[in-house]
Amino acid sequence: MIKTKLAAKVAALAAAVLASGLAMSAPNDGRKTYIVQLTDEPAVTYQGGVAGLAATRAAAGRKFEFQRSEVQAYVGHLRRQQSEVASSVGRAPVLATYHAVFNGFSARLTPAEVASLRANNKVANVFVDEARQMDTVSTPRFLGLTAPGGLWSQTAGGSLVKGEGMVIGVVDGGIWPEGPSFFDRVDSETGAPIMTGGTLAYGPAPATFKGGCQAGEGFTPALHCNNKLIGAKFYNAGFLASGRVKNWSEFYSPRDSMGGNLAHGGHGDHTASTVAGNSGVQATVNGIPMGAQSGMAPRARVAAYKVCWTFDDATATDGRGSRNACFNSDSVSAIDDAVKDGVDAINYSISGSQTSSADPVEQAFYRAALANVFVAASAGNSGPANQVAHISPWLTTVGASTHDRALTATVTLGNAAVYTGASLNLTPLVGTAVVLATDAALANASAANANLCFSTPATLDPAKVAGKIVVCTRGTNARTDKSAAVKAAGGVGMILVDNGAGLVAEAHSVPTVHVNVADGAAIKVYAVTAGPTASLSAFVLGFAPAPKMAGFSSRGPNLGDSNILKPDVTAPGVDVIAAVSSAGGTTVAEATASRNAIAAGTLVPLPDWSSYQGTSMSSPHVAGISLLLKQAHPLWSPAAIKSALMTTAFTTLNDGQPGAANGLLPWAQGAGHIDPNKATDPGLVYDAGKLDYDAYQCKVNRSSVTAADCAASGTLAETYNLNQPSITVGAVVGSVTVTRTVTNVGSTTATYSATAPVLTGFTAVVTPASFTLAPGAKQTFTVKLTAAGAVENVWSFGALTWTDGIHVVRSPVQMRTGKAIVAPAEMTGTTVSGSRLFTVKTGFAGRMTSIKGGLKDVTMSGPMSLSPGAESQATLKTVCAAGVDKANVKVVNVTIPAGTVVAKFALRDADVGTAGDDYDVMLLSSSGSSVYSGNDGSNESVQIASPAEGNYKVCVVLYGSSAERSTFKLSSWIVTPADVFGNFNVMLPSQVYAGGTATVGMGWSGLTPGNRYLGAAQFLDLNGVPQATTVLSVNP
Amino acid sequence: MKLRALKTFVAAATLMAAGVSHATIVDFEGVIETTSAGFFPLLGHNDEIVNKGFYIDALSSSDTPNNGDLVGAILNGSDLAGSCAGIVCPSNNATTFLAGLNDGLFMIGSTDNALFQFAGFDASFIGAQGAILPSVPGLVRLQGIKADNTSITQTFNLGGPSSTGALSFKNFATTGAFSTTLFQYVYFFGFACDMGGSCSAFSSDQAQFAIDNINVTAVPEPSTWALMLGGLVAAASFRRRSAKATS
Repeated sequence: MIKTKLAAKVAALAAAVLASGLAMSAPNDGRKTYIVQLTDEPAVTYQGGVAGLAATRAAAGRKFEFQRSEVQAYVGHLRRQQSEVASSVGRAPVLATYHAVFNGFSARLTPAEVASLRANNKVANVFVDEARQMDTVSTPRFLGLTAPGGLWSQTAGGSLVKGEGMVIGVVDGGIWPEGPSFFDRVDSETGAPIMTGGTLAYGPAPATFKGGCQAGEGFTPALHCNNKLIGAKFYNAGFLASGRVKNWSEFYSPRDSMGGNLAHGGHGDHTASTVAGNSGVQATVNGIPMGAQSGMAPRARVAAYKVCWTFDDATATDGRGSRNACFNSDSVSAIDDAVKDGVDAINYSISGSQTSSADPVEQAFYRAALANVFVAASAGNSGPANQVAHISPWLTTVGASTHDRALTATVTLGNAAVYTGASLNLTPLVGTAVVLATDAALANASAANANLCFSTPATLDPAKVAGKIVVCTRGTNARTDKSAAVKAAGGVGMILVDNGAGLVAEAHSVPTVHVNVADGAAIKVYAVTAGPTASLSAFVLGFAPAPKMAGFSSRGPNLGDSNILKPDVTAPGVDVIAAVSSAGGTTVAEATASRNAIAAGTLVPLPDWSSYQGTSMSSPHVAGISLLLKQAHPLWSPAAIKSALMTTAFTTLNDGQPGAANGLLPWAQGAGHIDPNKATDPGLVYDAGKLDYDAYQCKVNRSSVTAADCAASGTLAETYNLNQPSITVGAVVGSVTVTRTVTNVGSTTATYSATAPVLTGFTAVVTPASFTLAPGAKQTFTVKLTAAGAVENVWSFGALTWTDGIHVVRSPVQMRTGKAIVAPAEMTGTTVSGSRLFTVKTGFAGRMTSIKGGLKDVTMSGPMSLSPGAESQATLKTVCAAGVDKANVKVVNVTIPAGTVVAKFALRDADVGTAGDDYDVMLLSSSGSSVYSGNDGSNESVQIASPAEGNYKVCVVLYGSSAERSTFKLSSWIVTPADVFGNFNVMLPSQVYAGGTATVGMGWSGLTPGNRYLGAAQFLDLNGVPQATTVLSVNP
Repeated sequence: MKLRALKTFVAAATLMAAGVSHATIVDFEGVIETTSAGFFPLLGHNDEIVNKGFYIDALSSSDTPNNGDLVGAILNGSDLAGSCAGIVCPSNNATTFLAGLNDGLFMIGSTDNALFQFAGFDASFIGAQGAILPSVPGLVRLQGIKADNTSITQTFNLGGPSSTGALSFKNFATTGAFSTTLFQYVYFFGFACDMGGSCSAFSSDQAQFAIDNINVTAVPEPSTWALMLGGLVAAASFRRRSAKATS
């Protein structure tokens, strides 16, 4: 655990790798084979620029012809340049030269020659030649970054496209600076990152970066920050204010908390090293060498902003006695600073709102986007449920899918059946007895908890488990907690049966194979036969068909705005190996001692790596790729980068999930899986900036933007018209016309033609269907989508594609029809007389009719009193359904008659007993549906337009009060057509049109100031069926 | 229409003696007589208002209209957040103005049945909430009915949305024969235009417009009033059909 130990470990690993390589090949002449890459483009991609030498890039639709005279002339130039560079290290034997897809040569070089070449301004990079092997840490290969001609081999501004000059802001759980991913020095010979000594591999931070490092427990800027880790700050004001108790594993500093199975650290390092960790870092997981790990933008710099904190919580279900949480207030501070500091992108692998883009973190990202900071955020791990988070259009929301590396082991049962599952098992078990966890439960443990193999409190009976392989089921507690429970009870192995979330290869306390649901069911059947046994193999590396959406990746559609597609894209998020913080011991006592020594500065901890899964892992892949794209295209906006990633994405493979959760649908994969090499040359982008986002906000988040901004931007009439690289319409009434604008980001004038989406139940017309655009020019087009047999409320899926013969610009298109009439839900007024005009959309032709009720003044209840007692929305619903008053809950039974146009129940601060009282209200129908109002304070209202007739319960809870008893009066309105007052009038057009709009008027007069009036109009289709209701609320 | 006819008789009988030519700006300020507009400021089919000595009749363009079908409104430009909460009204006129809605049309004439010249007006398109408007979102056409019951028309392009989607009143002056002809009454109605520049009236509910500051000059001519009474009989059947047009 001390520094010398760390150095020894890294050195030992390096020696092992090198020894095997040298033994195979060359004489030990002090030279090794290197590949030297020069800065000029190779011939295949040369677009001109060297005086006297014409472009050699192949013309559109033609193959590259090496014999062409201009190619030969340029290759001559490359040969001269290569010769000049090679001769600068005169004695070095050159093994080969490359011109077409790579500009450079291979040579046997000494360390001094390598250093000399690295200093040569014609040299882009010098690579140690190595024997290729199966990549374990393989997402760069899976994403094509390492392919010949891939992004990493391209150059921009004289540097390889590996993130040079870029800075990632990682808003997460902090940083473990002992991870080689974050070192700024390399071993002079091997090029492997090292903490001290060797050669400095990075110059000073980019001049535009204004951030820095902040001292704290176990973190000393002079020691831990460097030219790679250029920023490290921490934000815990919100956490401290919450009053939670800091866990033993935590550091109040930028340092990530302790990792391993005892605590919650590691996440911040994992995400940071996935975005921008150094290349060539030899990762080991649970002692198993995993090969070289690299971030997506390995030359980018890292600024870590720690906002997540571990606190004591005895109710934690993972056996660690603690939880980790990230407070929005701390996140907003961090995002604020990151933007001020001048980062180029932010990764946010933290959960977020599923329903609102007005959330403060989302609003902080809105401004980050306006500052040209790309934001990648995780879609959430609540899949396959429809719970996608981070729904704002200005950020890129990332789902998680598999990549093609598989770590598998087999389970061979005594009946000779063989099943393959995910595993990192090193210790094979042969012919070992098997027991179902449910058959090995302790007397006081429930079968359900035993099935899940809880470690704390213990659920497995040592008498039944000792020496056996236990069959446990995934869910609720951590997977590693289950194997810990097996080990604690004396078990020797575990077969972990999946719950549909997807297989995970990871280190366990006992030999473990994780099998899928179907195989697990078969194993469970066998395990109850007489004398069951099983053998578990050691894990092997293999390839699996990929990508497939991970079961845990949260699905759309967007719950806040059904006209905006979320997630946007998917990226690798299963079995991702990256840096983490180290455990510091195998017991809490040991780990606490390590933690305290680190905080005191007396211990330099080890680095560590781990295999994680989650959308937390996929988001940093996208953040890293965004840095490559920004380096290659410095003028691209965050929206342009997102567009490039989306329109060049490819579809995942079928994950077999049923219905709307299926991975092939855009609800799971968005536009598809990112394809970085294509994203750098997308042809067209759907750009968006301040005016676009302001117009969106003026529509959906009016209070989040200023009147001046709305005056400047206007208000977006329909959110499906925000210029996103996808088209989603949640409620087509007859027909909609969607507008988009594309920008040619190609280098030449190009003529694009559209392929209109083919959608079940809709026709689609793209206008214009073709256009010619100069570089940088913009073109606006419309897509008119008309319902033609679409089933109401059923989504149809298709894609709009533009192509110029070279680029394919694909946007997913998804839509469904809505009600035959769409009208605003509510209009409000504050005058004794007035009128309101509003637009309704209609899906039929003929005469629309209406039924109106009101206006009606409020009915006040007599005073009722309650004692304070908090109830959540869920617990209030339980109490409400039970229908019995409690000290803190009043249940009011109400009958809503047939034909009611609106029912509303409300409280006001003015009608409750004590200043600062916090009342909440719920309206519960006999069918179990509920409407809830749970604001701070007591201004609450619940309302249902055109409610079904029946018995309802209005439940009022005194959530909190400074008094022991508080009284309230309930405001009620149940409005039927029999209620007529205030000259409330509804005026309709003579006729409406299918797929059209019309103006409807409401008017009132003669009201009494101070009263509170409510009315509503139902709008009926040709069959006299109400299709929409607009409520009018007037408080003169 | 029945109301108008009745009033016309009264007006003709009592006011024909005035005989002085005077320019009038019908600006919907001051007193607006609303006794024939039961749900003022909303205007339904067959409602009528009177301002500055001119009547304005609101009419549906539908083949099957009912009295009270919404065809217009008097709006207060200083309170667009109220009345215009759910449609897009012009934003550069803080005074009271007239709105034509749902393909409705208006008929304007002097309450004393004097012939008048129609010099100009201010107008803007009114958009549906959510509509993406072309640079020429709509037209206003005037159809002037002359003393001999023949008519002439003049058509005006309304201004398009600003870069922020805002609509604005513009001033329009009649020209040529239309500016000098004496009319019994004048219809005005709207066309809605699509992105391709094709405009149509009475077919979408989307021909909607705002009108203000109608500049008219009545020229009382006692010898014509008997003729006008005859003409009114024809007007009832003429007004809608004659206005159905597509450009």
